[in-house]
Amino acid sequence: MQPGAQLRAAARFVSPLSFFCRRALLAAMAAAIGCFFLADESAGAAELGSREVRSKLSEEVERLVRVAHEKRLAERSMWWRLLHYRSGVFGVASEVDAGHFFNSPDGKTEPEAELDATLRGFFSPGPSDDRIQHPFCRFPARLAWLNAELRFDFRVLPRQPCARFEEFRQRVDPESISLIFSSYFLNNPASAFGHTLLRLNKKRAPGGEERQALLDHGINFGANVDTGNAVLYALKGLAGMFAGEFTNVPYYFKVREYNDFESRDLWEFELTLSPREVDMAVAHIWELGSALFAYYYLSENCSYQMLGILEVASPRIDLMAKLGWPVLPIDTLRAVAENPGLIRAVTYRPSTRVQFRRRLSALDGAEAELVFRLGEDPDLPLPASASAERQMAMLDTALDLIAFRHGKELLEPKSAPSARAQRLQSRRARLGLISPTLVIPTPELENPLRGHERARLDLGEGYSTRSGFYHALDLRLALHDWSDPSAGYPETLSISFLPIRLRHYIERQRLELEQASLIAITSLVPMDVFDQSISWHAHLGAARIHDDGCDECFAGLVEAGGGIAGGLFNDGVLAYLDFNTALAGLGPIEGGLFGWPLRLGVGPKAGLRLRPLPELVSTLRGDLQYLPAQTPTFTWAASATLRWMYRHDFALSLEAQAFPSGEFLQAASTLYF
Amino acid sequence: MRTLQVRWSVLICGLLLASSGFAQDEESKEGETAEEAAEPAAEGEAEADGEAKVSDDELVKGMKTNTGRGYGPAGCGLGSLIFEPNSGFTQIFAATTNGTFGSQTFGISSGTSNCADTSGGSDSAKAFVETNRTALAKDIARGQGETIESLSRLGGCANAHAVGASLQRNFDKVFPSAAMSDGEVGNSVVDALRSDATLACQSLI
Repeated sequence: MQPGAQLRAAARFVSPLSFFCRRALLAAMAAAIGCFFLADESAGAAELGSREVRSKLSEEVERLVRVAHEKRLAERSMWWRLLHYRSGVFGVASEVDAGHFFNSPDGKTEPEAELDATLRGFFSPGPSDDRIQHPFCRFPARLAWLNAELRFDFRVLPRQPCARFEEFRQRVDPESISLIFSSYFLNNPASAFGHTLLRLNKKRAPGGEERQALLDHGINFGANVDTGNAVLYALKGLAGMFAGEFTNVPYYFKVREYNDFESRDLWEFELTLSPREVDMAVAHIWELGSALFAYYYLSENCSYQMLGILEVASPRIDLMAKLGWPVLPIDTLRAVAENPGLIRAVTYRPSTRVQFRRRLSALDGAEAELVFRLGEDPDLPLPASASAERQMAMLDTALDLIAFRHGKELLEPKSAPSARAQRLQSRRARLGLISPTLVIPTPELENPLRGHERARLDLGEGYSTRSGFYHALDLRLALHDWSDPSAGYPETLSISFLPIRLRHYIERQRLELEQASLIAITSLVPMDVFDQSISWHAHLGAARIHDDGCDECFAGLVEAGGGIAGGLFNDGVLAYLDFNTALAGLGPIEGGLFGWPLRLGVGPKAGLRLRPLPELVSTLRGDLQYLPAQTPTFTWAASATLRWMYRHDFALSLEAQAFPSGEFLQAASTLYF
Repeated sequence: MRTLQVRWSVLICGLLLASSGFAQDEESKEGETAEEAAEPAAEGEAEADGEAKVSDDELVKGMKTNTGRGYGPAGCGLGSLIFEPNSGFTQIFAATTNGTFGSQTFGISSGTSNCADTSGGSDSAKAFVETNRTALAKDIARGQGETIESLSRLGGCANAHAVGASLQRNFDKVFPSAAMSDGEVGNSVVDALRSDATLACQSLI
């Protein structure tokens, strides 16, 4: 029996039994099973149908339960996928935490009890509150799979009409499914590592050449965030204290939100799922609609749950086993890509920022200058010498300029940028020409699948002018920093999660922690006349201090600051200058503030990155700190790196560091994994 | 050397375990409380009133945290769903979008919301215009674009090129002022499509 076909049949089915008969049957079932469900009291004994039917039904259900036990269905991986069971240190448990997701009160931890209760639930009278769906309709994917395994005899077993599920199915009506990756966005911690969602691609109208993807449905998993407090947000997100829920949003919401509002690129990976697999995915999405998950920012997050749906769609797909910790959107995308042939096509949907840059690149210097001024003054007269086509090009570019610079204000109709945008649009419309479609080729090198793996291990040897030779081990759990090869990542992205640096000094026979951080971010936005967003950095962790105030001591460190950045040659050359504030403490610091072991420094922090080839990157960084009323009064640090990725995920690295109390030189072999 | 490697790996594993273990512990705790919270909803009739009340509260709360303006009757516009502009620090650090869309509007099984409907007809066309307002205005100014193609499909119009050209000609009628509400823009765009008989937007009749 084909699950997909069965599913459709089940959903379309209209009960052949008369209303009277069905009522009787339901009441009989309730009496027979008589444990979980309330009997429909109005169905009096007088209305009961034949005893034969009643006992036949309950016999059949119990037979199915026995066969399910014999076939050990509750141990099958498909059942585990359907119920999101995981076995862990504390035994088996489903990741679903609440909602109408289980039929058995022990369903969360007992796969077999849940399977038995599911079978009985399918053919029970169902809940008396008609706002709560009958299990037969609430779990269409389970129904399809169990039917394929057990071959339900619907001559004996009752079906239910599932109007709500059927309406949902018709509403989304997909012929294929895409996994959508929304690029990294450092200005929002929830999106710093990117985001993924599924898109249910509607059947395309035959012969229609227009683009229709905006009208597809996006299936998103997100946390119901209930706090605006940053610290609480971080803690609750890490600890799974937000409830996570699936939503069904028209894809155009997501495009506006990511492409326009946050100016992030979207990458769309269309999957090669068969119609039957697509049906199964839709059925499981419906099941998940009534589930509540705890949302874990680092593990059971948006991306993880998307994979759960795909695993139910098809037994041939293996995804979860490929995941480590933390689970980042890029990991889930890679897990999909590791299933050969699962990705059919890749589409790139550029952000407004990229659209603007593309239009700008078709203008000459004088025209670009006029675009800038149009952004400020939409009524600016254009030179009479400019042809209508050139005027169109300038006005079109200026429209995008306002859109990406004022993404937020444009949501407010009464804002000044909204008024400017409207005047400029009106002017452009009066010009009357139809603009050619903006073509932006897919930047293949930026495809997130082209990037290095997120964890990085450096093993090498080093020399310190003070302590002699040492063995070095550097480990970073995620994701990408400035010194890494740039394919697959934005040039400006630098986010390190849990970087740890260890050194074993050979002569002194000592193992020392050089650095251990929770997170370090440098967010760069190259500045020009059009884009004057500030760049910023933040760092929370601990590091060794190399100056007189605290020679070689290890202390906690918080750093943050902002400044400006610039880029040349498509950001192949990048530089930044930030004003930095650093607070060090929790270590044996001498000469600190007021004699406490606390050190506060302020000063410039600067960096330069040269990337002649995508595989070859060098960086120079330095910072100088003034330590008011402390000794020493000044401290500084400088470093240089050179990294060459000679084979995908294998690199050679050189690093030099200088501090007031000594220099380090280190060569290492780098593995991304 | 060997003992050293062992020590290193123990240390690293320890750090990783410490951080993941933290999450694991919380997981089990949270699971229990979340389940308890959901229990009443599963009870059915007896709890029906309570359940309805909870969702009302949540709806109200959702409106406040998301917008301060509320949505639903006010329309489906993007601005009504994403937090208030200019709330500064909160806006940067609070949740944005990965989770703020209230499930009352976009729940998988809540199905009936016009804001989530892309099946065609004037309601879904208006909802589309409200959310895509900014991008659509740009496309109309240019006389073509993806949002015009989508709108044309929702309206059942014969030809997206003709829709683009017609809306471009009528830009000032469709968007007389930037200060219009999303709902007003939705109406004016749909009216413009209806009033041009040559566009033959069959789903808007």
